[in-house]
Amino acid sequence: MKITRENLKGLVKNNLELKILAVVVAILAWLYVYHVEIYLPQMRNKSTHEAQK
Amino acid sequence: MGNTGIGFEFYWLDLLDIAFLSVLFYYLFLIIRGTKSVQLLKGMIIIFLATFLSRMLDLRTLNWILEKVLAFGALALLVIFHPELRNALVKIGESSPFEKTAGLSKEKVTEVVGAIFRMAKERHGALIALEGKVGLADYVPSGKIINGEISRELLLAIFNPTSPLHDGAVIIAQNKILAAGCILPLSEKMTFNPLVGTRHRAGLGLSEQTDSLVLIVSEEKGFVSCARNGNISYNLSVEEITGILNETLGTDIKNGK
Repeated sequence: MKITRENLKGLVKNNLELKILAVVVAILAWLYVYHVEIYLPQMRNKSTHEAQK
Repeated sequence: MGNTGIGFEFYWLDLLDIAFLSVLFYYLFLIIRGTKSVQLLKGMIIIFLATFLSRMLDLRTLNWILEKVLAFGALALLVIFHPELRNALVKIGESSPFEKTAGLSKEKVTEVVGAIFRMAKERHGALIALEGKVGLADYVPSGKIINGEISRELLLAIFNPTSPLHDGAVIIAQNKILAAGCILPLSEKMTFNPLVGTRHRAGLGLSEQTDSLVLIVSEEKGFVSCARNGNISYNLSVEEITGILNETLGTDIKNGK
């Protein structure tokens, strides 16, 4: 397949709903992992430090 | 990108992380689209979101229960999505550059095409699987080994309604009719044409699980269909079928072997 403007347009438009859904689910998954793996441990550390002070 | 000032840090690498995740989810959705697994996946996403919300709102008991459900759910996923995971791994293996397509010479293509259109004319049902990169040896034991040269006459004899082997599928591999009367896996697609029967469902099923090209002759309608990559095309002409065979089994035919 040649890389033309039309071909690229077709590539994006093909299964567009599925692609949007995939991006939304990926963002949600990233947010969940961020929340559980980074944000919550940071909060825990912060409160432990404050309690020690 | 650094700290965005809205409570969390976001870096360029995270954007790459999300991009990779999106591609992964997209292909997962493509694989399970139109199957029963869609409902299961929706259920899993709802439980996942509920767990996330319960954690954010600090609803401890609900969160404890949902986390346990998710932990068991991860194990259950392996069992529930077993066929889809299998298909995905097969598809990853298919794209290996070290594998060769099982060839079919130009003469043999003519024999196969001639046989299926003769059967369509006479309204004799037929199911012929042409092996791709993924081997079909798993399905051979369910039928009878033929190991014969491909010929129009042999195919017509196998699918003659009085033949004891006419109900199953013929498997063609390495330029030979490897076996006949083989049982193929049925497709679980719910969006399936209600006008065609089990033979078509079996052809589609095999094309979902392997990269085989499956030719199907409808006994009732007398038309020829072709299933590949989990999609099925109905009522094809001689030129269309020959074109598909040329395109799919490409190199050997172009070389005129």
